[in-house]
Amino acid sequence: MPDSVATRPGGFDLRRAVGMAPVAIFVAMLIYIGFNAPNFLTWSTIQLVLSQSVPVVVVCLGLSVVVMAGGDDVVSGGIDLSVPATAILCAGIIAQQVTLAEQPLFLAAMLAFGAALIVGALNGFLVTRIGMTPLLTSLAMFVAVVGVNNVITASRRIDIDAPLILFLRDDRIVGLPAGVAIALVLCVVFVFAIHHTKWGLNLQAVGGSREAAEVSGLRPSHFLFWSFVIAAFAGFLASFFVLARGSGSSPGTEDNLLLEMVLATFLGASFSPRRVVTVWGAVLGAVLVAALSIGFKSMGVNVFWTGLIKGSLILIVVALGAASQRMR
Amino acid sequence: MADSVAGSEQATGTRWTLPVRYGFLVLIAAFVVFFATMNPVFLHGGNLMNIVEGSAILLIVALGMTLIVSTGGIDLSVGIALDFGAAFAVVAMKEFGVDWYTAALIGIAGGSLVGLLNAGLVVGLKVSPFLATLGTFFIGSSVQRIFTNGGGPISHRRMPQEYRDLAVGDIFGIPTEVVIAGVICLIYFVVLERSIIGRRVHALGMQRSAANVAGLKVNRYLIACFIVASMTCAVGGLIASANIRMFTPLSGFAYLLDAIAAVFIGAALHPRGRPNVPGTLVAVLFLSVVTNGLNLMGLNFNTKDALSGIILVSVLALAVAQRKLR
Amino acid sequence: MWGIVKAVAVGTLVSTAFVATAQADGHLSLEGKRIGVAVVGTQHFWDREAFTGAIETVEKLGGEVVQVDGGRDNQVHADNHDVLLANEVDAVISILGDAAVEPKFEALKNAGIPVFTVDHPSPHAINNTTSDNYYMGTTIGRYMADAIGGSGKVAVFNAFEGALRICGIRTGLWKYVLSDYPEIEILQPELAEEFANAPEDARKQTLDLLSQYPEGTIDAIHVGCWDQPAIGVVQALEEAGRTDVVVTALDGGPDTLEIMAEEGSPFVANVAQQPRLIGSTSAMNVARHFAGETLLPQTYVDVVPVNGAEEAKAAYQNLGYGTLE
Repeated sequence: MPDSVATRPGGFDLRRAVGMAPVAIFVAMLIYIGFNAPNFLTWSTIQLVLSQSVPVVVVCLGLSVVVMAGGDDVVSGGIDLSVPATAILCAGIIAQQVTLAEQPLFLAAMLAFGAALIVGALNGFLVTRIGMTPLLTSLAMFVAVVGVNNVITASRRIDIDAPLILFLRDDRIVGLPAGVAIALVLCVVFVFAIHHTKWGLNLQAVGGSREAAEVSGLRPSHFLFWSFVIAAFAGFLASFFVLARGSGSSPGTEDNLLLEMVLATFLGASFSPRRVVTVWGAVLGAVLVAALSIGFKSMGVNVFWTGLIKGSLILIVVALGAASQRMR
Repeated sequence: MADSVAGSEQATGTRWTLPVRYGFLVLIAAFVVFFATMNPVFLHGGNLMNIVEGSAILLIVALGMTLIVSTGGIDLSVGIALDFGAAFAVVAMKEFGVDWYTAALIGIAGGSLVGLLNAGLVVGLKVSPFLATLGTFFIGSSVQRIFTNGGGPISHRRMPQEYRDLAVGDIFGIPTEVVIAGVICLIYFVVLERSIIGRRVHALGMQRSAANVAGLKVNRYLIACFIVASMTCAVGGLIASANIRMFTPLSGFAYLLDAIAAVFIGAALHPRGRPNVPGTLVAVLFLSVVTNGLNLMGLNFNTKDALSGIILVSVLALAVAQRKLR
Repeated sequence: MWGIVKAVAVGTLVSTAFVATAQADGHLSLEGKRIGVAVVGTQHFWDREAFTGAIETVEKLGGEVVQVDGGRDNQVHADNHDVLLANEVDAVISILGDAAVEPKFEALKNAGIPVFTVDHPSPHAINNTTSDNYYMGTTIGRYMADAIGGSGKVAVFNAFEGALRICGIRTGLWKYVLSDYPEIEILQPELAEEFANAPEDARKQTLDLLSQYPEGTIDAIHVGCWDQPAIGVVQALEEAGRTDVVVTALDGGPDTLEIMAEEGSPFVANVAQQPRLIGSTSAMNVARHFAGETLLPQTYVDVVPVNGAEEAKAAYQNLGYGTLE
C-alpha cells in the first residue's frame, strides 16, 4: 500500500484502526459483559479468570516456542498440537503413580518428565529427521499420546491429594492464587529465554527465515528439534496445573485444552502489531477467551449460543487481523 | 501413479529403490498377515466385506480432504459438512415428508453451505485455510447444538427404504455405499489426476504465485474446491444417517483425523509427494484394516486405542521416510 | 404389563405425595433466589432432560437460573462451579460429573451455598436425587437372564463402570445377578462404547464381534449403563441377519423404546428412567430446603421396567413421548 494512506498527517489511519480493531472488539465485549453480569468486574472474578486460564497459558508457552522456531505458516511452518496431550499424559502418570501406585510425588514427577522428554524428542525426530510436517506429526502424536495415557489411567478418573497439588489449587502467593503467580513467573522466564538470550534470538531468526538463518551459520533443524522438546517440557509443567484444576486426572479433557490452546495462540497473533505469534500475545489470548467464557456464563447467555458467539468473534478478529496485514 | 517414472530414478542408490518403493505395500501385507495369524476370522469373506463397507464413508471424506490439500490448504470442517448433509436430509424427510431423492439433494445442498462459508473466509476475508476451517468447525458445531437443543440425535426410524438402502442395500450384489464411494473415487481420479482442471488445482497447491502470474483464476478455483469438497462430505453424511436411521450431531468429527492421515499417507506414496486419489484410497483401506484387525484381536479397549494411535504415527513416519529415500 | 402399570402408578403417587406435602406446608417458592444449575454436558437425552427439568421447575417456582454447561468435559464442569461460586448464587444443582467436582462442592458448602446433586452421591451435597440405580441393575440382570433362558454367552458394553458411580452400581448389580446363573458367561474382554457418536461406533464394534462369534456362539449383548449404543447394536444385528441375539440396555429414552416396539426387534428389555422428573424433583428439593424442611441424603425417583414390545409402547406413552402404532 503506498505511503499516502499510512502517513497522511492528522488524518484517519485506516490501517491502524483495522489493526486495533481486534483488541477494541474484545474490550468492548468485556465492558458489555461487565454491565450485564453481576460481580464480573470484581477482583475475585478477575482472579477466577486468571486461575482458569493457567493450564491454557502454560501449554501456549510451549506452542509459541515451536511456532517461533518453525515459522508462522500453519501448514508448513512450526506448530505443536501435541502439547495438551503431553500435559494430560504427565497428569495421568503423576496421578496414577501417586494415588494408585503410592509413589512419592517427586518420583512420579520424574517419570512424567521422562515421558514428556520422549514425546518431545519423538516430535523433533519425526520433523527434523524423517521430514514429516509439524502439523501432521503433532496431530498424529496427539492421538497416540492420548491413547497411551488412557492405557496408563485405564480411562478412569484418578483423584490426587498431594500437598503440592493442593497448594497450587487453594493457596495464595503475594495475594494471587498460587497457580496464577507461578504461571506468571513461568511466562517471564520463557519470554526472557526467547527474547533476551542468544539462543532464543537465534531460534526466532530460524523461524523468521530459514535461508537467512542457514546463511548465517545456524542449523534450523537443531533449533526446531529443541523447540519441540521445550514444548513438551511446557506440557509437563502444565500437567501440575491441570491436576490442580481438576483435583486429579479425568479422561477426555485433552480435546478442550487443545481447542483453547489453538484459539488463544492464533487469537494472540491477531493482537500483535506484526500479526505474529508471540508469548504475551498467546497469554493475552488465553486470558481473554477465558474471560469471555466466564462472562457469558455469568450473564446467563444460553449455553448453546456461547460457542457460536465465541467462534464468530474469533473469526471476525482473525479476519480483521488478516485484512490489516494486507493493507500494508 | 503412471507418471511416477520421471523423478524416481534419481533415488539414492539402486540397491534401495526396489524394496523401498514397494515398502508400503509390503507393510500392508505384513499387517494383513499379522492380523490373520492373530485371528483367522480376519480373512473371512464376511469380515473383508465389513472392512470395505466400513471404509466407504472415510474414503468419501478423505477424497474431499484430498482436494483441499491439493490446493495447498487444509480443511478442518469436513466433519461439519458431513453432519450438515445428514441433518438437512433427515429433517427434510422427517419434518417435511419429502421423498428420498429430494432429501438427498437437499442434504448435499446443506453440506455445500459449509463450503461456501469456508470459501468466503479464505477467498473473501483472506483468512488462512487452517484458521478459516477451524472457525467453520467451531461455528458449525455450535449451530448443530443450537438446532438440536443441546446436541441430541434426531431419529427417523420410518425413513423411506430407498434412503436406507443407500447404506444397507446393494446394487448387483455390491453394497450401495461401496458403489457410491467407488463412483466418487473414480470421478475424483479422472478430474483431479487426469484432467486439465486437476492439473490447475495441483498448480494452486504447488506454486500459488506462479499460477497467479500464469493467469489462473485462483479465487474461482478455490471457491469451487471448497464447495465441491463439502458437497462430497455431505454425501458421506447421507450414508452415515441412512446407516443408523438418525442424524447424530457432531459425529463427523470422528472422521477428521483419519481423513487427514489418509491424505498424507497417500501423498507420501506419490513420487512427488502430492496428495493423490489412488494413494488416499490405499491409505483409507489400510486404516480400516488396522482398525478391524485390532478389534478382532480382542484386546482391552484402551490398549486397542493406544496401539491404533502408535501404529498411525509409525505408518505416517515410514510412509514419509520411504519417499525421502527414493 | 402389570409391572409397568404398577410402577407408573407408584411413581405418580409418590410425586403427587410430594406435591401434596408441599402444598400442605405452605406454598413452595424460590422467589428472589438465584439458583445455579450445572450440567456436565447436553448431548445425551438424559442429561438434557434433567437439565431442562431442573431449570423449568426453578423458574416455575419463581427463581432465577444461572445455567452452565461443561460441554462433556469434566474439568470444565468443575470449573463452572467456581463460576457459580463467584456469582454468589443461593444454591447449586449439579448434574452428573466425576470426582473433579468434589473439592468444588466443598468450597461451595464452605461459602454457605448449599449443593444439590443429580446422579452424583457426595458427602458435601445436601441431597442427591437419582433413579433407583440398584433396582435398575438387578432388574435388567433378571430380564436378560430370562430372555436367554438362563444360559448362554453375553457380550457387554461397559466403558464407564469405573468412571461413574451410577454405572458402577448398575453394571455391578447386573453382574451380581448373573453370578447366580452359572450357565451364563460374560465374554471377555468387555467392550467399551464411545460417548460421542455411540450408535455408529457400537454398530461397527458389533459387526466385528459377530464375525468373531458366529451363529450359536453368542446369545446376548448388554449395554451396561445407558442405551445409545444399543441403537447401533440392533442395526448391526439386522444388517448381519443375526437377530437371534438379544439386546438389553438401560435408560429407556424415546428412541430406544421405539426400536423395542418394532416388529421382531431383538431389543427385548430395558429400564426407563424419568430424567425430567429427576431434575424437577431436585429443584423442588432446593425449594423444600429453603422452606426449612430436612431432606434425606438421597431421593429416589422411580424407574419403569420395560420387558418386551408391548411394555415399550405403553412406557413410551406413559412417559409422555407420544404414541407408537
